[in-house]
Amino acid sequence: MNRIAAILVTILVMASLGVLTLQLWPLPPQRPINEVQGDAKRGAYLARLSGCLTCHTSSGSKPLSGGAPLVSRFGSFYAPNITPDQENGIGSWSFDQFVRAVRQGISPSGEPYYPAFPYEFYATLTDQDMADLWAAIQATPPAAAPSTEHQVPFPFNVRSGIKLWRTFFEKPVTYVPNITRSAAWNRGRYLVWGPAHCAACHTPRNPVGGLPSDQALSGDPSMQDGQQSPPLTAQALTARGYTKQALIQALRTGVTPDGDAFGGSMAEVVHGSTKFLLNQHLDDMATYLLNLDDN
Amino acid sequence: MNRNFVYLGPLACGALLIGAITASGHNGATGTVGERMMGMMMLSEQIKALAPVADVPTPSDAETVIAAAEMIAMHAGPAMTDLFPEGSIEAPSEARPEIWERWEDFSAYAERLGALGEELGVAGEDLLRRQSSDPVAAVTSPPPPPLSEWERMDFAWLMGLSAERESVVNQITTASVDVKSAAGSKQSVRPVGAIYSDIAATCSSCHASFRR
Repeated sequence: MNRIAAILVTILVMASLGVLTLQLWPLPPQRPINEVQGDAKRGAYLARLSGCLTCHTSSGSKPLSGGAPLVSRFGSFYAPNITPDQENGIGSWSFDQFVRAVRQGISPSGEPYYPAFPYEFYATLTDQDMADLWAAIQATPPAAAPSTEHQVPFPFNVRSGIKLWRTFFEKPVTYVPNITRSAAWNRGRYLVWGPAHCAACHTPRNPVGGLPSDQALSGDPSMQDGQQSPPLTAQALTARGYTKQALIQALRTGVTPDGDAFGGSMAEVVHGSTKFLLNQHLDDMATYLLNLDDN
Repeated sequence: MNRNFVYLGPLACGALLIGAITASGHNGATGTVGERMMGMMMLSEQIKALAPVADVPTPSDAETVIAAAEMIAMHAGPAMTDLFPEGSIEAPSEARPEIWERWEDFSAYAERLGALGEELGVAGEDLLRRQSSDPVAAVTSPPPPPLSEWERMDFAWLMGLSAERESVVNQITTASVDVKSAAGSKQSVRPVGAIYSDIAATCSSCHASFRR
């Protein structure tokens, strides 16, 4: 009897220690931010480019008032209301809190966000980008729609467990220009691997949802939502008939070189994001993806 | 050897080849599934034909636009939905069973495609009229847009608070009207680029909802 009691006490102590460890597990500190003046229109453009509007707006609802479920193997995630509404949105946040949330994936209360929110890619956004996005959100009409809670089962609903995940699997994207390539190629790489976060779907994630170490858009045969994403390497794109112009056309209209129209999540990406982009930026992305060079 | 048998071999090969080509055209599908897959392929051919001319169509593109519009309108609406009898999802069909669970939505997409096909035909006829009424303008390249691409975007349009800007952008892109007339008058014929964009969006929305 005493032995069973001892085992139970040990389990209880170990579990308590585990919870305490997770609670105290450190998160990265706030990165310093330069104070810059934001431009709401540029911020709105970035919100399109980065997919903020696509994920945080469900069909027929007000912009940024909360999104449709993002279904994954770990549960369903709902992008919250990020309008400046005081009660239901992020109206009570400071600019610094907003920046930490977007670039580092940490909420104002110090909780880590699930990596369903692609903050690993937004890590490349500059202080000016953040000021512009903030200005756009401030200029968006507040919506009183309450955010929907994520529907994630145990053990994934233990939010502090994400700290552990972050320690081993988080891979914030860094951007270093390649001076041997053209400005267009470098801009394209920044857009593809940064705000447009193409790799979020077009790279194979590991069983716990971590991104691969190499920067290769080799496609994901087993996406979180059960679908497949094709490779976006230059070789694979060329084999599917994509020229630079055809790729720009696909990102602008959703029509592929063989005259088909994208379905699945790529339809949302095009019609909620890339169709709004400047020709120059689509050109840059195509230049990078097809590994072309203007030099 | 009987002369008839001399031709039998090549004839059999020809029949096999035609069969193989037909089957590969729609992944071996037969019956209703095969018929509708051929219909979808035909639609994609029209989209392909429109792609290079949609952004800046000249009057000389009118016939291409009209021909594509006729084919799209002809294969949309009931002509499309009639090819989806309930439960017809056998391989290699890519149809999802949600089609019959949300039949009204599916039919609405097919109807919308038909309406857009007809609207595209009107835009094509408009191009044709311009070719016959002003042959000089028909060979003159369109004037450059008065505003830069960035200047034509505004906050409300980017944030999804207004759809108006998009229409102005497309009108300017096709150079069919200038900024002032676009803002001051209601245009009866939408530009080909705007209609093409809506056709692509309708196909994408339908595929996203109802295709595997």
